[in-house]
Amino acid sequence: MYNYLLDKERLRYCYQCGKCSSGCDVNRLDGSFQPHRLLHLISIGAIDKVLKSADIWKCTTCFTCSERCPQGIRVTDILWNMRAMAVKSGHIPELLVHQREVLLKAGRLYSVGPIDNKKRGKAGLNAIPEEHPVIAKIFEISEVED
Amino acid sequence: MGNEIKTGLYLCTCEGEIGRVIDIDSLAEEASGWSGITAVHRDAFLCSADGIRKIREDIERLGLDRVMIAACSPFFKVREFSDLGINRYLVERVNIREQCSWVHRDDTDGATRKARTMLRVFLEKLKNSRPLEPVKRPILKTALVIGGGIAGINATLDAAGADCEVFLVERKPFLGGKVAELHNYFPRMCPPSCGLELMFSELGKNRNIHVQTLSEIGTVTGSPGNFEILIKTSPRHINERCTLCGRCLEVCQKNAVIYPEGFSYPGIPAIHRALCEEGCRRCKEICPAGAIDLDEKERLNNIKAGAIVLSTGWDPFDPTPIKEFGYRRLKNVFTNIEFEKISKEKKISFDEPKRTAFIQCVGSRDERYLPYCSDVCCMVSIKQALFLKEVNRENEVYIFHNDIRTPGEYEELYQKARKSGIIFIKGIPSELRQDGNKKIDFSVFDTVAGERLDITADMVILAVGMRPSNGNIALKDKIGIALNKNDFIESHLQCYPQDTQREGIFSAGSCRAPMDVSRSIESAGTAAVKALKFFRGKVEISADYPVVNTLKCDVCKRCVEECPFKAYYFDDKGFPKPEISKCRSCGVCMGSCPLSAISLGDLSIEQLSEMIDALDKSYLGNDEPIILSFLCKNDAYRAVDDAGIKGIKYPPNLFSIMVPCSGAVNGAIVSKAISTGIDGVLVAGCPDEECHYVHGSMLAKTRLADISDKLKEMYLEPERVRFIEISRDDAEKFTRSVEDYAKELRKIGRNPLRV
Amino acid sequence: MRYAFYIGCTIPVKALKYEISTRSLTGSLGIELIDIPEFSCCGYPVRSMDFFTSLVMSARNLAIAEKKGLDIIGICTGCMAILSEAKEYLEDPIIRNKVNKKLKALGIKEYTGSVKVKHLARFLYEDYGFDRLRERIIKPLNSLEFGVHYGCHYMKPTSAYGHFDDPSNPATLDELINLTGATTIDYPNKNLCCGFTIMGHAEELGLRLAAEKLECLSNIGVDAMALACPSCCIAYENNQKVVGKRTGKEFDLPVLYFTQIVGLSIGLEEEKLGFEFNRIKVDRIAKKLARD
Repeated sequence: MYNYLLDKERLRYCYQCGKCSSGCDVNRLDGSFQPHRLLHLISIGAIDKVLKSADIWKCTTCFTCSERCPQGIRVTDILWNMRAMAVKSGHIPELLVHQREVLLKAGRLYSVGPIDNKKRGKAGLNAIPEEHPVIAKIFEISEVED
Repeated sequence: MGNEIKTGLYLCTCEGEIGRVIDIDSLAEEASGWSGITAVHRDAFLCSADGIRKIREDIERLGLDRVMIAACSPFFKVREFSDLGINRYLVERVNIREQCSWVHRDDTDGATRKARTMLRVFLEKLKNSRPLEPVKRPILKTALVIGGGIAGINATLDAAGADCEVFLVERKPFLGGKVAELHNYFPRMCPPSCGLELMFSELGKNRNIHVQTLSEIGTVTGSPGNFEILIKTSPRHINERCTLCGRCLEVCQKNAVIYPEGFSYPGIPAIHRALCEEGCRRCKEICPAGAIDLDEKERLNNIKAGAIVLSTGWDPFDPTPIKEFGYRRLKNVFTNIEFEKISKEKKISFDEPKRTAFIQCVGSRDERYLPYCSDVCCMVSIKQALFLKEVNRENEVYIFHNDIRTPGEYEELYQKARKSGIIFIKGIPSELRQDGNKKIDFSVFDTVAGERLDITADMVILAVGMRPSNGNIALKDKIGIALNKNDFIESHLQCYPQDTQREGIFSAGSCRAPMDVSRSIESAGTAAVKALKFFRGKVEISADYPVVNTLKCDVCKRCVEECPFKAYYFDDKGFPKPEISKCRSCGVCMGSCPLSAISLGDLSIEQLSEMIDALDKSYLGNDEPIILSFLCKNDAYRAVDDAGIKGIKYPPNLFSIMVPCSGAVNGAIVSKAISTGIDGVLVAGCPDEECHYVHGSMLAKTRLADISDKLKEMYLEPERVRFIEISRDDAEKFTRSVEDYAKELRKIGRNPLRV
Repeated sequence: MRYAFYIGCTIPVKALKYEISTRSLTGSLGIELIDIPEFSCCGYPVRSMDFFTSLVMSARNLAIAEKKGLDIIGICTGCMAILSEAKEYLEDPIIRNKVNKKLKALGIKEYTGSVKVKHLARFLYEDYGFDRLRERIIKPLNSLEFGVHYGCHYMKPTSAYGHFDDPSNPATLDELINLTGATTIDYPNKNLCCGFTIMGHAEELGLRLAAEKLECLSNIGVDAMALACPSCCIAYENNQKVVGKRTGKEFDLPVLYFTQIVGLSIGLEEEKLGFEFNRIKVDRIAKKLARD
């Protein structure tokens, strides 16, 4: 499904114009982050190198590379998905472990506790449900797909 | 005619390839008693000289008027059986090898039963076959060239130089097209004036050439060899008496006088009336030669031409949609075409050294715009970069590219550019910025160095690609040619690059693909030669074109609408009739007719109907289902032949009839098959996008689905009719489908309508 | 004008002023935003865990709105980008069928693709109409000058957003702020990302990205930054002191949501626009307005 979803065949058309890296502000600040190089590694099958690299976690998902790619490669989404693949192969950043816990419980990225709802009440806003069990179910049924 | 025919039946055992499986002896014995059969001959090697001689002698000696050859596939030994001394439409090839003995080799009984049925069915077809002669029409030895750029001019000169009359039509006021606007051509770097001037003088000298500027194509009628083209000419408002004194230009306050450059053709200005101030007649009043007529009207004239050469040229890609390059928004960002003018007219001072950046592949090799390589841009940028180095050696020039493509001799210029200090960087900037001043800032990732470079340039040239001019789209339907997905003229790029898909129509220059000047001129020569060659022949129109039975026709116009080549018109009595020079005998009209009123010359509705009657529905006994399949000639039939050649087996339950296109199968024929007891009808055509006749297979699919629905209403199983997509290489797929279908039909049970 | 209000995860916890000002503004404009308690996270963080799961999560939210017959309005650009891009992926029947199977297991019939998703600012631009909004402006903010920060996900991916604004030269938020009478400026790094999304993985980089824009706008000396995304606001306002400390600079740049700015111009009181939650004090702005 991933190959289909992200049209990874398209990735093989990449002729390394480097527009993704030229236009990347993260690359400007940190030269080691080179989207075109990551794409090249993926397309030649050296995906392991990509998954182990800290680089994939530097992408801000700003979509500029996807916008400008002359081959219509969804660069952002492909790099984004590399994170998911990294996670599955055991390279899990700490933040993600925490986010996942919160998501499973609260159904949202930030947990909402009584204090938050009290604060909201004071500001004249309605309370937010503190739990959202459906998220655990979504993970359970969807994550098995490959 | 009925039983009066005298058929010679020739059965080939093919050195055992057929005889080992099919009991040819018993077939021969049996067939000799059939009505319509005059002679039966068995041969082990029918395609040999002896075999052919035997057939020819029999025709002569016995007065045979039909010949049935039961042997290999009709696509085999075509040459050997092509000249038997009898009209070829009276010869029927019965394919008992590829589609019988080879594929049913483990079932000799079944194969023999099927072969017998084949003989009976095709004998029935022969009973109503008629001799047909191809129609030959003379060709007018006059050419029309559309588009007066460098390609059109050269095609004109080449054809006219070979004593052919040529009409050259250009919609702009002057000839020369895009190249007239260029600064110079590579690789010799000569200015366009040099070559064009020579060409213009030749144009003027040759009395075979008729040039019409300010002219567009109206309608195109007639057929290859005999086109008739309506030309609409806008008024020029200035005639030949003009002495180029220039006074009109001086008095005009609206820039409405389009003045010729030094070497234009014709060398007379034109007035763009739409720009004129209302009521102003100053130019007319001042003209000392009396050459101006402001009231001149549009003129129409007809041209008769045997062949047409299209040379409608190209337009530069407009880079505005690539927002990140800021074209039109940022200062000092130009296209390469604009730079031609800048360098030609020295619009910019080059006294102070400048830093210039060329960006390659703007629009080209881009999925969203021009998915192809525009062929010329690398060389154009190298040429322009060298110009910058020449005007001021201190100029800094960068070329940002994906790949530099300079094939053949052009590599020399690339070397020269590198030696001159032009810097080539593999990497394309992502965005151009301008902060207040007129300089342009950008970053680029040098993918070779693995480094990011920050560059500030005085000028950025976008190397935009070439796209076909809108002339292609405008002419597509008028002339009936096909365009490829990028709107260039479609052709068989490899073997027949200058032929369009329509006979007698050729292309020259960039309307077919991006080309530089040199290749345009080359292609123009080829197009001219192709036209000349075409003039030497006669147009031969295949004799099997469809005929409309006007006694049945109720003028529903379905055939007119569904004809893939728009060949139908209405005759004097208002009935649809195919213009046979446009017709390709695909039979889609025959399939479309709700009243079964259209028949192909060599395969009529009546013949098909009688063949179905003659088909013994129990040729494999009472319990086995019979599948009647209609196979399209170009793909499915050949794929089924392939099954035989590759030694793939399938059951003899399949009985095939070849049709030109699956779209030729009329619903009435399918219904007739089912109503007379055929268990399953299988129509095999090309996948939609591969259909040789545009939408034939798509129509077939829809019609079959309709019949399927109708069967349901009649309490018959809708599975009894089926369409399958078969490509030329799908032998395995086809045989598998046949096996599955036979199994399915066994499960469904016998057609209750079988007697 | 009834819409499903997609509030997202960040706003109700970390951007109360955005929520308050949005509710006041839409209420006053007659745009009815319906809260949907069944909505969950849009799927953004889940993209880094499992792409397909993220898609199912987005589709579930979309399908819930669809079932209620309501189009979605949101104010978090991240949520809008993820939901819009999910819509784009789900146009493919193969993907949609696969996702719909999962939705069925979650007790949702199906996602058909009929629901529309829009950021409130885009909604005002395309649907409510600037002409209509202009008529409501009774307190023009003529003396104020803003630097607009769009946020990457406001208009990208453009294919998912129907190309409604140009990421190289965006204009719709500027036009919206200009309606109020306030001036907006063009500045060199207008299209720069706020860096928020990588704060958890590459903090240093994230802070440097935020610092660049804060520095640029501070040097120009605008009255405030105007934006339309809670994450960007955290990067530029909540983190402003940290950014300053880490990069050795001192910033004092107020950050306002477009809802607060438009709210002021149509005459809503400051307390109805959540100004009490603005961390960088907006006194200067208040003074300027008082003078007008």
